[in-house]
Amino acid sequence: MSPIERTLALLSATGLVSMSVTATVVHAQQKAAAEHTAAKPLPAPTPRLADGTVDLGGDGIWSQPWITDFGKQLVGGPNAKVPFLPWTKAMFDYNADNKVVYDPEGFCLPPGGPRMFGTPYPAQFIQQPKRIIVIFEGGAHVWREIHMDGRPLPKREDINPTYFGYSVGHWEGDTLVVEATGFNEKTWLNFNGTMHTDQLRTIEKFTRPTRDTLHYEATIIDPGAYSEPWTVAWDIPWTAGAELAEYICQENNQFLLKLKDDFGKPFFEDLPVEHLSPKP
Amino acid sequence: MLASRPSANRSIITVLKPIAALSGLLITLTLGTAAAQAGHPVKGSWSGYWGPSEAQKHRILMMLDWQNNEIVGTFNPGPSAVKVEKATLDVATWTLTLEAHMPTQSGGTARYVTTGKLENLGSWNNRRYSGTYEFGQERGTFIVALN
Repeated sequence: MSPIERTLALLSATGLVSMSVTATVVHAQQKAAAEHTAAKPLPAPTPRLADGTVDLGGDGIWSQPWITDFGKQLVGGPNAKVPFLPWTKAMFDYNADNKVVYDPEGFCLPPGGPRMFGTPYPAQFIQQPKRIIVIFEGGAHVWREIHMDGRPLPKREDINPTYFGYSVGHWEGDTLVVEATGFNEKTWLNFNGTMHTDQLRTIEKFTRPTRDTLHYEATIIDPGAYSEPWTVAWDIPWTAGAELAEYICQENNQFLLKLKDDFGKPFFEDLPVEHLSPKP
Repeated sequence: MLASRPSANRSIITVLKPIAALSGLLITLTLGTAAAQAGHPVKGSWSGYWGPSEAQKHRILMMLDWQNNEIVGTFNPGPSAVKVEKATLDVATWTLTLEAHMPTQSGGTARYVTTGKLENLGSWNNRRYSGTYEFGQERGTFIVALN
C-alpha cells in the first residue's frame, strides 16, 4: 500500500470510529434523557376553580414537614438579618439560653400568624367566594378566616386582639395576598423566641405554582419589635389524598407538668402577691 | 357475682368522683393560668411592696406598657395615680429604672426612683422586678411580681 493509500485508509477508519462513537454517545444521551423524563414526570399543573381562580384546596393537605426557622428563610439574600430592636434581640438571646422552654406553642397555645404555616402540622384551605378558611391540624386545632369580600382591613385599635388577628385577602393574578392585624401578644413569631407586639401587621402571599407546591411568603411589620419590615418565604409540599387527623396537643402534656421557671419553681405555682410581703 | 358488680362499680365511682372533680379543677386552674412570656417583658400590671424596712412596707401597684417604643406607666392607678415620668431599660442586664414624683405626707411631692432587675422573664405569673428605691431622702427596697 502506498503512503497515500495508507493515509486514506486511516482517515476512513478514523471517520468510522468517530461516527460510531458519536452514535453511541447520542444513543446514551437519548436513553438518559428518556429515563430522566420517566423518573421525573412534569409537575401536575396548578388546579383551578371553574372561574379560573387558583384552587388552594383539593383532595389532599399541605404538609409542612419540619419546624421552620424564620431566621433561615429570610428573603433578601445571604446578608439578610432579622432587624431586631434591642429588647427583642435580648429576649431572643434569653430564650436561646433557656432552650426556649417558655415557647407558648409548647403550652399548646396557637402559634398564631405566619408561624402557623411554619409549624409541622398539616393544613387545609376551604375556599369560598367571599372567604377562605384555613384549618390546621396542630396548634390547638385552630382555624383562620380570611375575608375575601373586599372589606378593608380595620384599624388594629378597633379589633379585639386574637391569636390570628383579623385577615382580609384578595387575588393579584394567581397570588392570594392577605393582610392581617389585630394580633394579641400571646405568641412568638418563631419557635426560637422571636417576640412581637400588638402592633404587628403581616402581609402574606400564597401562590401555587404547581399542584404540589404552595409557596408561602410573609412580611412582618412591627415597629414595636423590629426596626424595619422583614420577609420570610418557603415552600410547603402537597400530600395528595391525605386528610387532616385529630391531634390534641393538650392531652398528656407532660412537658408542662414538669416545667420549672428561672427560680426553679413549678411554672404553674400561682403565688398570690402576699407571698412577697415581709414576714412579721 | 353479677349482682355485686353494680355495687362495686358504684363504690369505685364514689371514690373516683372527687378525684375526677379535683383533677378537673386542677386542669382548669392550670390551663387558666397557662401562658408564657410574650410581648414586651415589662408590659402588664405588677404588684408588691416597698418600704424603708421590713417593718414599714407599703403595697404598690404598677401598670406598665410599651407604647411608641417607650415604656410608659402609672404607679397606683386610681384617684392617687402617679404617672411614670421616665423609664429606662438596660436589656443587657435587664435593669429597669422608673422615675416619678410621689405625694408626700406633708402634702407636697418628692422624687421617687426605683432601680432594679427584671427576673424570671419567661414566667407569666411569677416574673419579678425588685431592687432599691429613693423617695426624697428615704431609701429602701421594693419587690413586685407580674399579676
